[in-house]
Amino acid sequence: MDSFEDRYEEFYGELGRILPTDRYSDSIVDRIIYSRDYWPLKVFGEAMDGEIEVPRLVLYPESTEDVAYIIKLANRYRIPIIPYGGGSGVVGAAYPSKNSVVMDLSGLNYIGEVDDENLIIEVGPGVLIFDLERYLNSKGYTLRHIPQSFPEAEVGGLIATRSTGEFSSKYGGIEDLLMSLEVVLPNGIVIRTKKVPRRSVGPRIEEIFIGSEGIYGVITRAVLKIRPIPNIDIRKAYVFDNFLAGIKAIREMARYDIFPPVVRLYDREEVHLRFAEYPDITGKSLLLLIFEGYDDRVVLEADYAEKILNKYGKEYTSDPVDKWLDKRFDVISEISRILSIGAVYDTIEVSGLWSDLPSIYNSVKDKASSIKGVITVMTHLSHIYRHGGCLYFTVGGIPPENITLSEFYHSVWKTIMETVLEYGGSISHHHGIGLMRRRWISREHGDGVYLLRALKESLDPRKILNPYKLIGDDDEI
Amino acid sequence: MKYEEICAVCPGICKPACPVYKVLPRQPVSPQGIIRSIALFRKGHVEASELYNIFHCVACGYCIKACPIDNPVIDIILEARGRYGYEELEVKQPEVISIDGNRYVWIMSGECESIYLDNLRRLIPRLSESLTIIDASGIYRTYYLGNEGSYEIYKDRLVQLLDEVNADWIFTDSIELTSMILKVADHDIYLDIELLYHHIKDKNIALKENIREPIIYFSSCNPLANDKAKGYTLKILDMLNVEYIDGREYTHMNCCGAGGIYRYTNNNISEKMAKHLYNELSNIGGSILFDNWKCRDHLDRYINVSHLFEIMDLVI
Ligand SMILES: Cc1cc2nc3c(=O)[nH]c(=O)nc-3n(C[C@H](O)[C@H](O)[C@H](O)COP(=O)(O)OP(=O)(O)OC[C@H]3O[C@@H](n4cnc5c(N)ncnc54)[C@H](O)[C@@H]3O)c2cc1C
Ligand code: SF4
Ligand code: SF4
Repeated sequence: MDSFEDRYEEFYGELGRILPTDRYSDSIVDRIIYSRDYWPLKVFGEAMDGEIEVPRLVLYPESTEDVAYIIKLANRYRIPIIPYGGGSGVVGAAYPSKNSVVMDLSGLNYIGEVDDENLIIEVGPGVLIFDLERYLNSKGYTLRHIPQSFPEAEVGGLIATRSTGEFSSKYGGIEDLLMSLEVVLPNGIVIRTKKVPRRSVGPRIEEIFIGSEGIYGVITRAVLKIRPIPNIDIRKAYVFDNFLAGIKAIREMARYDIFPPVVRLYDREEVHLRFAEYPDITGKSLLLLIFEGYDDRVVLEADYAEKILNKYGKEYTSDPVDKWLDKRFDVISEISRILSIGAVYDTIEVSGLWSDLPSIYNSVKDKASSIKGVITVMTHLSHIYRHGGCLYFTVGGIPPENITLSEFYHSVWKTIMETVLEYGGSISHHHGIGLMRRRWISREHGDGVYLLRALKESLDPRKILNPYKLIGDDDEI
Repeated sequence: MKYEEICAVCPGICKPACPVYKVLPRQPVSPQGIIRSIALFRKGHVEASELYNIFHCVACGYCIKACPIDNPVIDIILEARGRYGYEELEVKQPEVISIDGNRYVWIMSGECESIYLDNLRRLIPRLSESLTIIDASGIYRTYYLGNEGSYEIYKDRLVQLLDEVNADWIFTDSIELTSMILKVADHDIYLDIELLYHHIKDKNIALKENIREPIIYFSSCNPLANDKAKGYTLKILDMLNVEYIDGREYTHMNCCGAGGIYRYTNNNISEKMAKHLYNELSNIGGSILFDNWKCRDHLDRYINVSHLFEIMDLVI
């Protein structure tokens, strides 16, 4: 029984003994829909008639028990299982291969009662973050985790990619909003971590699964930290002569503990594309800020920020903030425009210390812009910390003749990843590694990567959970 | 780019708006999943007979409202159903089932006639003397299952019946039906609540005693004509002088599953949708009001709801 086919037959045969037939499907429509996540290389590849590789089966578990049962069975027959959330991941972390089985966790969409005293809520991994936030808002609370993929991403996927949201500069990434987890390990054992605000009992177990891209376990419940919904917000915009002046201003703000939830600094190329209706700021850098909270402290914070920011730039009308708020989830208008002229794009987010950000920015812009076929490299800085921030590059271009889409993508990625590594930055701030960035994971972690591989080896020796992702070797898939 | 090609490259911004996805949270039945599979079919990756998911849509239109570029999802799905849907569709053709006189002609779209009619007759007594009923309950199957050929035949037959009865007023309980027939026939067709409005607007009417305020009004989700229906309902509620709240502020479950085709093709999902909506509405307090009889009828199995006809008394 050693070929995949034989093992798969046995697996499939046994599946039906416990799982009702409406919880798995080998219909070609289902398999083809799960043949990719939102990895642009594959999204555009499909649109441009590239090859499609479909998984063998799609599973629709509805409970932790279903998941544990499936994992045990997959383990017995060595069947690769690809956990799938909202499918909005952009680096191929949920991309299945043809000899694999996709497990869509969207059916685990339990939303518990709000625990008002402790300000926590327990939810299933399949809850759309949009639905959760709406539910919380209707009761006067918020998680305030609002990625641009707000309508599409699910709690489990967000945790498994170590995601961050647009309001992160004050509230942090998903790691800061997560208290505890229930996880099904690759051997089928279910673990649950304790609900406490902090403890000193060894390394934090939750950390193993945050950003693990489903390779160490399947998240089946999460306890999240919530807060009362803020009732005051102040929107501000500032203009700087150039991007680096804006970075300096933000650094000083962060130095003195001013962290508005939304901090977005656009370079002139991105201003040109997104804020063309404000001709007076053409060629400049634009900063959008949203401060929020419950009382006068918000006003004081905005006032202090103003004092600092005015040293480096000038206050501008807050209209662009409203515009951004209004349009921020609409990615499709832009994508359809880009595709209709035969162009493609990708977004690459990286992080670095304040001292490294200028050189990362300058070098990435220089090198990426000179790649044949690249039309634009736009950048914004968002997600700030006292010590540095995230640079988010959007690269658009048309693959030159005789170069495939895949070769074009890889040349852009290689250039940017290597430049970032050279200048001391990290290759990803929040999208993760998946298949797209695997090649650089060893350089990112140095010898630390052995720790991640050893953990995989001991938890999942039969390589059943999302094999080859995150820490796999490049030639393995 | 064609509409379906745009959906195929979209991450699915409209996903949370889809009531079917809410009860069956699987990518292939999300609006994006349905349209993407149609696009993949057009490229030869899927056979027409495998497009099962095109029947997983109740045509509520909420995805279109949520779509930043208003992609016409319903048109794409109904067109696909028309082309690749059930070819051997059995449809009950429209027929005149009762003639008490033909001053009023009621085109009935569902199987709910008796309590519905009792209520309507209570409020418009003249209806008892003079009513022609045309059974058009097959229209849902032809329209939503999208068999284009059969729908054309159906529509022609219906218009022919309307021409034969020489009515003063033609009305219907079905918003979709009204809009569709209006497109082809040279008749003025009124919604039932519109007719009601015309009849009671100068009369003295009051809220029934057992109805608790606030009224939680849940308008029909059908995008083809819900603004029209809502307009009349709100006028009537104004006349009644009652306090009402828009039910959609309390739930993101946009459709109860009564419409579309689920009650014929997949009753299980239709019931799940009703229960989901019920769970969200049940703890608001107050009386829940619909102005679409099919929604009222569908939800009535789980929760105490009323139709506009049922909340008012004529005070003589
Ligand atoms: C338009 C757009 C905007 C975006 N904006 C942001 C942004 O602002 N911030 C941000 O951080 N990201 C953003 N992303 C990326 C993406 O939304 C995130 O990576 C998100 O966390 C993915 O969640 P998902 O539910 O879609 O997961 P998927 O894409 O389905 O899966 C992602 C990974 O998580 C694993 N996984 C999923 N569920 C589980 C589970 N229950 N247990 C274990 N592993 C699991 C999968 O195997 C895969 O490795 C954006 C993407 C798009 C398309
Ligand atoms: S209808 Fe609009 S939002 Fe929905 S998938 Fe299509 S393009 Fe995206
Ligand atoms: S019309 Fe309604 S049911 Fe159909 S795909 Fe759109 S939101 Fe879903």
